[in-house]
Amino acid sequence: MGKANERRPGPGDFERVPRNFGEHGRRADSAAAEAAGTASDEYSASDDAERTASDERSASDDAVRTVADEYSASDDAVRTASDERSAGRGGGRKAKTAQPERRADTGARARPGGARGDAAGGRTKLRPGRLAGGLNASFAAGGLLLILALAAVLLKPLIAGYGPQDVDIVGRLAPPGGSHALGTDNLGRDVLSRVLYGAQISLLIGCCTAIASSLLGLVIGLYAAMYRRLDQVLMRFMDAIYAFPAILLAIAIVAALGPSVRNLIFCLSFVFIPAVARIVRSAALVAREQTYVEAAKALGASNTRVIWRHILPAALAALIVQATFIFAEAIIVEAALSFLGAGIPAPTPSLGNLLSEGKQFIYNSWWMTVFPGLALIVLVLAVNLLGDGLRDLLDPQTRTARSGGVSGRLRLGAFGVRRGQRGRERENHARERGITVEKHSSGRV
Amino acid sequence: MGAYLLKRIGALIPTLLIMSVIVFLIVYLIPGDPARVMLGEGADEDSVRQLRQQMGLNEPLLRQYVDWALSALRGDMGDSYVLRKPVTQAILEYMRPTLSLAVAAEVFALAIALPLGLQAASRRGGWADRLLSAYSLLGMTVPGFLLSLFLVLLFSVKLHWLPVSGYAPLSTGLGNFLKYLILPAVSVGVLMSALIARMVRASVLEVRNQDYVRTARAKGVRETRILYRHMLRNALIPILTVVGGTFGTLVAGAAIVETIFNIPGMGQLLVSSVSHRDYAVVQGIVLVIAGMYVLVNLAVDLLYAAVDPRVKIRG
Repeated sequence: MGKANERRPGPGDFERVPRNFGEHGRRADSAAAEAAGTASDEYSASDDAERTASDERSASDDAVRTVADEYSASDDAVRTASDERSAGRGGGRKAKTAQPERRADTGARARPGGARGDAAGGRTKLRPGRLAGGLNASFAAGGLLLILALAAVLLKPLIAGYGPQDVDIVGRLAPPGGSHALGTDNLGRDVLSRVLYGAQISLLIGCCTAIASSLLGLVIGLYAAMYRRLDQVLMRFMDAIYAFPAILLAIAIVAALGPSVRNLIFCLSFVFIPAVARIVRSAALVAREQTYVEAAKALGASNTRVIWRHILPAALAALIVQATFIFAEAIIVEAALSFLGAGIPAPTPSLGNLLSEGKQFIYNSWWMTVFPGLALIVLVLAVNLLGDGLRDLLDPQTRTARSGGVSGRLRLGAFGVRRGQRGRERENHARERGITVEKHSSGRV
Repeated sequence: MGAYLLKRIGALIPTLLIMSVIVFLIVYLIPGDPARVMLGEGADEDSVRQLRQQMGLNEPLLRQYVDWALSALRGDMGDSYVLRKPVTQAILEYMRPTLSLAVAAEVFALAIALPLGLQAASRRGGWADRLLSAYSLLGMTVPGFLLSLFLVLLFSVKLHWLPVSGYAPLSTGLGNFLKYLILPAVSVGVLMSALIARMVRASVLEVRNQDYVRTARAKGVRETRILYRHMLRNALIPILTVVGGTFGTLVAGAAIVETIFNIPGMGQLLVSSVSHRDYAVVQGIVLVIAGMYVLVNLAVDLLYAAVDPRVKIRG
């Protein structure tokens, strides 16, 4: 996997490294240098991945966000907005320095004075995603969709009027309308009722997976950031798990364990742990070099205390955002696994099972495919929008924090890429190299 | 170049090692006795014992792993007890359709992504830019297998333009080959192309204020030529990264989508092996796809050096 490459030059490398150096080279601060230094060699691979991640991420941000407010709020826009400002004003160097800062998470926490003005200036431009009351548009839309979905799931007996397993052979394959709003399947079971049950299972699995992998990933990430030796071992493992296309790994594990809801949650959690661990680790690596952590240590706080009291909060925002994306991915992977017959055993109406039944009758009964499919899309969209919104709400300054999120979602999402998010390190890394490497370096030393 | 290559290859070893351990351990997740599970409830003691022997389950774990890994290195990943042939042979037989699909999907993705991304970058906020956002939203929210179902519903069931499922090897003629391959390739490729297009857009925007672009413009070079010759080449490295980084998932996606279109590839083999509890094949496929991913990334690394000679010197 990525380890093959020391560090792939990202799109910004040519530009960013030297510029960065220009203004806050010095700020390739102890924190950054440290973080980058640790990470540089063994992780460089993932660093690039990160870079890709953040770009992809920004890409998808655009995607999701544009619905609400064109590009203005996206990373891309950040970059280009500042590019453009700089072009306009002829203050290129200065404006551009602000922008990598923004992408580097550290920047947000310890932004040197020089960049502040520009960064802040940029922000006013970046905020249209937020509605008047400080409410975020994606968050609101996603939240609303999710609440509606939850309500529909909870009220399913009222809405559907039939049980998901009520067989009615006479009324089989009835088209939508009539007594069954969304039609019936090949055994005369109500499609609406089955879709709602399927959505319930999806939500359950998504939620449990997000929680389980977050907790485990959190512990791994925090301790990896604190103990160098542990870091080597743990992160190597995380990288290796990461190198598998997650759906394949999940299929293989479920195949061994046997299909059941519990096993599915177990295996999905396992598959998603690296995504969390990487994000937490990168946030923690930055946090642990901060003055307040130094102060805590100087006061004699134990490592455990430092980790849980001082570093954890710094990693929390990124963790929560990542968890929502895992939520969405888990829903998709579960559907794919069930669809392939490697997920939830058959009579249970999960969305994947419904789609797989629908496929057999795709010639005559489109409703058996379309409605479960739409339900899946709505759930994924809702959770993703929620995650996008949360990210902005929780961490308005450090926009890079999202990088991992969508990229994570992507890889599994629809078999897209999932890459780690270590934007911080990566930027720091780049910055550090900016000092040692001459201008126009591609980042390799 | 030699040193660069060696260094790259050397860096692969730990990853491959850990990956192989994970794949190896999959069998040990099976609750109870793997041999008994594989043979089913009604199996008699003798055949269970025989299978245990054959699988080497009586050896110490480490020994088993070393044996397994060494023979996998030699290309021997055991025998499929369902297909009654070596796993390697089975995978090779099923690999071609999957790879065809993956390559077709990648070609489709690039064919959409490059022009769309460039166009979007050349006028931000323009129609191409909006189209690109809508397109990525589609790619992000609709998983490939679902997209393929919808495509089948539209193009095969409603419009009768394309066959519902099946696969025709290239030897039956290019037209025929493409007719069967186009829907699956689009299903797998849409997300890829959304990703790549975003990347193209982002990295072209990144280089467009460079001095050399201004110089070219000042010289009177046509805008299209600036876009394709000057900007694209310099924007190529991040694009390559995405292409390489997504290849493994592309193959995985192909493997899943092909079960929908009844394409006799690794995905079908995987699914049927899962239901037959043919773990040797499951392990083999997962290992092969993961290995492919690693190799493609290696190739991408080497390509960097070709695209940007500075990489090699610093490598």
